[in-house]
Amino acid sequence: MKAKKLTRLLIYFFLAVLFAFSGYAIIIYTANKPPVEEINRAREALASAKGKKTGKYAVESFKKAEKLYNDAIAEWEYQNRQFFMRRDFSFTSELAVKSYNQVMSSVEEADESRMKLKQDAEHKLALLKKQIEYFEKYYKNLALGSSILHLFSKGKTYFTEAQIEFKRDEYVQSLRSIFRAEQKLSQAEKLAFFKLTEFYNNYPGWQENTRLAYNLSQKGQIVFLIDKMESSLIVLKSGKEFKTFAVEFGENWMGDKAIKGDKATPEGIYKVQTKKSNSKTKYYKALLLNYPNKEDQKQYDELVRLGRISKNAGIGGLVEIHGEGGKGVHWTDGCIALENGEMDIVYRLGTVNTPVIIVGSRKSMEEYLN
Amino acid sequence: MKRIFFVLTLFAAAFIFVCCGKLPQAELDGAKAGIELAKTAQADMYLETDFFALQDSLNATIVVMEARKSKMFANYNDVTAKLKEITEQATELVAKTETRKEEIKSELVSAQSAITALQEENHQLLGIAPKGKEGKEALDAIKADIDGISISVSEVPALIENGDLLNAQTKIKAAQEKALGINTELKTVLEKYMKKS
Repeated sequence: MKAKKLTRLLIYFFLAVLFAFSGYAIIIYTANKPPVEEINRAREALASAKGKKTGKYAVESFKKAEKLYNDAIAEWEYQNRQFFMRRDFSFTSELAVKSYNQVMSSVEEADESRMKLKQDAEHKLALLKKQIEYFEKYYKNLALGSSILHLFSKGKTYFTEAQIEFKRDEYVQSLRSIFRAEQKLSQAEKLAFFKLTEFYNNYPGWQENTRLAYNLSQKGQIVFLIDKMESSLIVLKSGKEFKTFAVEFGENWMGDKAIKGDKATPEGIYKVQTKKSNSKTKYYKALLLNYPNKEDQKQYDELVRLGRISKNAGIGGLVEIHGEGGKGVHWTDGCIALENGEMDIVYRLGTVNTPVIIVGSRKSMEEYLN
Repeated sequence: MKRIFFVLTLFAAAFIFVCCGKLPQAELDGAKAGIELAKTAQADMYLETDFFALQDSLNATIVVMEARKSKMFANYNDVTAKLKEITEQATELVAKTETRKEEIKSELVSAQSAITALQEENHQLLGIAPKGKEGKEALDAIKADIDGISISVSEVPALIENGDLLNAQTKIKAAQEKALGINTELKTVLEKYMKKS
């Protein structure tokens, strides 16, 4: 009887301990809640930031935020593996809050960076546009040669690609294309400028010859002044421009003629040697010039002596002012071509010994570029 | 007395059974692997929104799962179902990404054909274009542009080969814009020329 009572007492004691323990456990359990809210807040912020491409514009900062979030989850998993009474979610919560704050700051950083890159790209695109317009205005119509034109074209292609990427809000890629465009366009511009500068090396001589043309015409002679840069033949009469005609040259018109077949038009002081018409020319009417003159021969001999041209190259000849022009392209082998109606006038005005002065340009390079 | 022990044992067994619902670890691993596969398929590039939504869906499910783990009476049935759904969606996303890539590739191929046709037309127009004051130089510049377009387009197959479809798209679009620009420019000039003559 006593033993039974003792057993019952033990059971009651055990149950009392169990209930007390359960009560304590419930208190601990309810007090120690996992940071679901904080974790979800960080997760939602991360998802939203990803949608805004934050990772592209604040790479390190966003990576840090993601790492903090992953650490929070790992810590939560670790705590969940503990006996429930030993769980402590305070560090999980701290990591989740830190992750959220880091996301927010990376979003801010990305916005700032995106804005900065956008402004940078916008500014550089505007500069490139001006650079392209400048090239098209001053260089595109010169005899630059295909390599410079291809560089310029490649630069323009990169510029278009940069514009497309900019419109797609891909500023990093756009800036990469801008950099490529800058390289090609600058290279093209530099080479074109070099070519133009080289061409204009003879400017002092052109100035002198232009003055001579005006002086000769003031003395009563008709003078044909030919300006290569303007592709024009100016008829000077009594020191004034009497008439101006569009002319065409050889395709390598930028530069003085040096050898036979170089498709360049000579520069210098010449005169009409022979007037040709009917069967004497295949170009409607022609005024044969006295190319090569003494100066040309001297220059040719010097170039041969320096080894810049072969002694068998030949100086060439038969440079004429002739008809069959008006094609709008520089197509001759070095002659000066006019449209037939205009050739009639020039032919009528020109006589044997009429001075023909050919210059690269009457304007200086500075004037041309401004 | 025995009855009391029996009840206590039953209670303890039930408690243990209810408390320790089986974790859907295999499903979780499957979902994670699915997302990785989608990433390898470049879903994050070609179907960015869908990919990020799926990734967030997995993250949200993990949060639910961890929250359940913290509870005394955990039931993972809905989590398991959700993880299975994510795995399926990831597989679908891989397929959708491949389809999208094929679409882009076929868009690129048809754009290439369109550019080739435009280029041929541009060459023809260039041949009959009236020569302006700038003449040969202007035509040379247009010719250089046409050549530039051809070079640009010729770079596209290598980009496709390397899976760089987005850059290929940009290149093709730029080439198409340029070719169209030249085409319009030449046609406008020709139209004016026809009216004059």
